[in-house]
Amino acid sequence: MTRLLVLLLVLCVGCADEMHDENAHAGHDKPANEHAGHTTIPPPVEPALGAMSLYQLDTPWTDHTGSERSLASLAGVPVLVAMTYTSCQVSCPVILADLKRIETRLNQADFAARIVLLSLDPERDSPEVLSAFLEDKNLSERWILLRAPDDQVREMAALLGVSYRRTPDGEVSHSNIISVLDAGGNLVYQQLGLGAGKSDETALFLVNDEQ
Amino acid sequence: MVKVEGGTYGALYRAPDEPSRISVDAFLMAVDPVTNQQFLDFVMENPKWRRSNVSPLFASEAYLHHWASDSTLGVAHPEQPVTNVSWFAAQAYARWADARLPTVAEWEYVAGASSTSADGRSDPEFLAGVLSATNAPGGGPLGLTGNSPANYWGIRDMHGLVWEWTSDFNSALVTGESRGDSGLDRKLFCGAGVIGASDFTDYAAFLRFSYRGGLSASYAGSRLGFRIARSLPPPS
Repeated sequence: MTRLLVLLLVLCVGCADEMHDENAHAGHDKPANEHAGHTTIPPPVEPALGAMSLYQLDTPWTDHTGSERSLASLAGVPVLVAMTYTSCQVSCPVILADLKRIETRLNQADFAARIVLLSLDPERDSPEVLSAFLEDKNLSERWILLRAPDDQVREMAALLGVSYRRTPDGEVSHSNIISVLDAGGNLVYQQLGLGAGKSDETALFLVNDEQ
Repeated sequence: MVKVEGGTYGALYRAPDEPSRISVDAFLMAVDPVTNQQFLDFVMENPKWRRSNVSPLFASEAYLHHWASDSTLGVAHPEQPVTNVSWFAAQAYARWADARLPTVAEWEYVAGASSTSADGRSDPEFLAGVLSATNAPGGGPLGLTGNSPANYWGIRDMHGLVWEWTSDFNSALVTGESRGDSGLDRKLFCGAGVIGASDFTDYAAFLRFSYRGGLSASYAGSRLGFRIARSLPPPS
């Protein structure tokens, strides 16, 4: 009973904290698990979403295992998000390289965060294709690949400031942006453009913000 | 909704890699823009889209401000097209109605139909009528839906009543993107636009494209509404 009360108290403090600071940084929600990347990331805690949380978009997405999942199920740890598509030959491999570079830093710092790729080509990026991509690129447990119908993709793109357009040759022109969402789904950082210098800054933002 | 047969239309703006005529598949489109009453029905069933509940992420302060309250229209007429709705709200409404917003290509394709032809863009009289409707002063009270003559497809009020959201209104605004056609956004604006534009006669379309280019998805404006569309199952 005492333990339950303490838990409730902690939860209430958490709520109050969030109300005072809509853009509450990830630091408040550091999960207990210190071995992300090697072991499983703790299950989502589904906190009440703030007024600016992107996780308020409540139409379900489909992940690389074929399971439906809400964006809110990503809550609990910070998330790196990029919008790409698996058949992309031009800039997506560079986005992937940037994200892997960030991941290395996260692993070094034992920092729990997820990496989410949202498909800009939902027609071709079926769960099977996403799953094969995950395997082919040797992506760790941190990674979640998601697809959804076009209208949902457009909504996320609008929120993340990603412009994209299908070209007649079957490619998708798109902005190169890596976004950081805090544990509550608030947009707290964006890396505009790609490259080692920029991705190092993104990694530093995440890790330093936490300490 | 009525069926719009597939066809092509001469795109006003295009990237260097795009064909001069864009093809549009057959689809269904609403005869009229969504009205205040219809949007009220949606809001009553979906409380998170009430004026007092909506997240600032999804709608600016102007959202539904012309209604008397969260759940009453007041002086807003039930049959007026709903305005002061953001793109996110329009998307949510369309999903609720088991529909979607039309694409820019679909919208422009339908907007090009005169009362007698699927493509009125070579008809100077039609173009002049569209331009005068588009330029009509915006100060007066908003008209009601259903009062204008239908076009070739049986669709009303594509011109002159309200501006309308499209699903991909922002897709032409490609900046810092991956494939090097960043000249695109430049083309949305006056001077530079003339070089990339393919059709100099349809000035109203210029206005629409530049209007869309200035929008952001949470914006809500007093002359901006939407209508819904639906895809047809692919022919088997």
